[in-house]
Amino acid sequence: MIDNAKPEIHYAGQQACFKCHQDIEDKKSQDVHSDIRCETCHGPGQKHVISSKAGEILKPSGREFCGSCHLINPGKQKSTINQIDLNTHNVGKNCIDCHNPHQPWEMKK
Amino acid sequence: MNTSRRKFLKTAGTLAGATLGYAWLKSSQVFLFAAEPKDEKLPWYGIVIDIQKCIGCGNCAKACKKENDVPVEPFYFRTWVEQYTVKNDGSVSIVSPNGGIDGFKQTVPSEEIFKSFFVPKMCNHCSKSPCTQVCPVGATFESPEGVVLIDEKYCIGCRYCVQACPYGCRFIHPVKKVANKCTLCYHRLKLGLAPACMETCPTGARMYGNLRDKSSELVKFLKEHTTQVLRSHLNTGSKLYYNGLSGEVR
Amino acid sequence: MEPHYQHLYDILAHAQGYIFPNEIDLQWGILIVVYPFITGLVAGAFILASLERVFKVKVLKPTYQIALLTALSFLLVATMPLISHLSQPQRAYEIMITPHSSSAMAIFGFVYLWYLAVVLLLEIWFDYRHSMVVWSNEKKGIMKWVYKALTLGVNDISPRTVQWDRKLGHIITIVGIPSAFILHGYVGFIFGSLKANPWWSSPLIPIIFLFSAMVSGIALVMLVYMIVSYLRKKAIDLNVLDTIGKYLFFILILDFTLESLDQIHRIYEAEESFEIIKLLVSGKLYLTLFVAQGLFGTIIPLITLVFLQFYKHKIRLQKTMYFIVSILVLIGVYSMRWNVVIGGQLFSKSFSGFTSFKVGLIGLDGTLMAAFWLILPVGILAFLLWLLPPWKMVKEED
Repeated sequence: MIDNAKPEIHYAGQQACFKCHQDIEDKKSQDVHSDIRCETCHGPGQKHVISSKAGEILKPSGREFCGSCHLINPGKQKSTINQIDLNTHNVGKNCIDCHNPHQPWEMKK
Repeated sequence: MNTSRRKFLKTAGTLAGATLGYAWLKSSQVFLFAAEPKDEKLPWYGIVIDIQKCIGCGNCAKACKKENDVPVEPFYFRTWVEQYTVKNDGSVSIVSPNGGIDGFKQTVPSEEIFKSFFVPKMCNHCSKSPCTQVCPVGATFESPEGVVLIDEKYCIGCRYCVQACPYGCRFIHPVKKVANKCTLCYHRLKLGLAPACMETCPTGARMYGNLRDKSSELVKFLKEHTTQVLRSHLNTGSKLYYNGLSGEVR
Repeated sequence: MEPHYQHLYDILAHAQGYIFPNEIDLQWGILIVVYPFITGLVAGAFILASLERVFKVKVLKPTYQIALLTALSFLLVATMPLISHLSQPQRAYEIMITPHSSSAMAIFGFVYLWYLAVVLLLEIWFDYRHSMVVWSNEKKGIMKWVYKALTLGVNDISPRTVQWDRKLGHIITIVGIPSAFILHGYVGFIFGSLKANPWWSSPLIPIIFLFSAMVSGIALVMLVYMIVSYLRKKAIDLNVLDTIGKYLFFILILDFTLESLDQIHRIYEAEESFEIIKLLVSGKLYLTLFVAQGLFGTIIPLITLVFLQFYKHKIRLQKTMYFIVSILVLIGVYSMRWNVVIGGQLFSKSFSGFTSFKVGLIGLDGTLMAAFWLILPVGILAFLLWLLPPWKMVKEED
């Protein structure tokens, strides 16, 4: 059991994120992404928590990335998540050109 | 009987008896397989997966590999996601491309689909775990918190546990060359952090908690929903409860 | 690391239906087919030897020592396929010092040691002791000391002591029969007790393993007897072959009945796993199950043995037929081990798909290694027959 408790953690948990990024939490908690924890999109954050370097954590931006959740698929319940067809929905643009990832329904002009 | 032969037989007999006796004494130190351990102060972990909430994004499987040093090749998974597509003609198609890490593409035309859903799989952390029962050296064991773990320094790599798991959640690590499987991120639990798969699930389809704590979210969920375990007829004491489990799932 | 992954990508390309992602590679390969085959030969050869000793089947006397030495040769090698299969072989000793008492596999070390030391070695020692004392007196040079060492210093060959040899050997043989059953039966139990695998999980599996083990051991002793007699340019006693053939026939019938019962029961109940198993048996296992194990390994030998029992001594090719029968039976029993071990892993526990199995040639888990563990006992047997020749033993009045 001792050996099983030894490995280093890679995901810090969002409480660690809020210590520096409380402003983002304030925004996120008011919109539909409120229940999604930071590292779900930004990847493992422990290294960034320790070093505070921006390069040590992901900042995803492409269409495919948002599609990993939002791409329409018959297996996803419509009541659980809004789905779009990447082939038809605003092709050529990045999702975050219009949607603030922390406040998706606050559309950017 | 000739005295020299008598002496020989006596010595041989004593040696054999002593060896057997010692071995028996040593082996009774290793517990058989535990049901619920006695320590009431520790949490007794259970897991709930809500199939209605899973969207097959694959974040869980991806995060697990990152957190737990699992090779990225598509042959070793501590957790993975399957997509079941029940067609109108009654046939069922099951897929898990790279364990669901890269998400799922729709391959069956929508007009042929009766229903479709995603099922995340992981170690069930059975309370009567068959893998623990069959390990010849006791390298796999149930922790006092109900987490089934592997002592990597002791495993001899006989693969009996891999055969014994009805859920297919064990594998032999290609680099470490010992058995490996989901540990419910035991190293994170000890720090009060959620397992990596649950940390990164966007819809809250995965939950874990203390089955002994009647006020925990987990127990409340179990009370308010109809849940099932996989392979219940095998009586593994699985502590992974699925909400919305459909009959096609094995 | 690359070649190993390439092999897995190849298998992934050949997977059919849906398999759990971790099931891509078979966990137990050809070495685990070889291990029950070897312990089966040991148990079977010993049972045949016991027929002569305990049940006083005098006709089989010429095969008694051959059967024991065959059993010993194979038993000495028996651990090796297991150890070379482990992914941490240097930790194999852990099974002996901290066996997990709920695991059938943990019995292995103790049953093996018990059988080797207390049953086989002791029985052979008691049987050969008189002769070894005589040889140690007759031989010169290093062989004199070898035989002296083997007698363990117990040099008394008075009639009373020799009678004690006989009595103790008798007791050990009696103890040895259930020990042989456990030695091989526990292997069957390892498979039969796994509820996760419906091809294996059955109370019949240990019994089927035992009966096919007896069949293989008997066939092997018949084969060794014929080959040794031929090499020694001595006449093969047809009475011996007929008697062995008779026992082989009865045990083979029983084995066939049990195997058929297992399948008929499975077909009749047709429970959850039946659909995938039906596909398995009619597809990937067709050649090894119906052709190798069924037709060549069971049906043809059965018909031939009946034929030989009715037409005793009237056929010129009788010895050749016995020779071929014993080889076919051995192939059949080997195929049975293959069908159980490999067959049980070819279908997914999802009951929705198959993986595929390609045996590697080299490496600790490959065909060459398996072949080595099968051929080495033959070398050991040749050595033992040279060291302890049954035909040069002191003749004792019965």
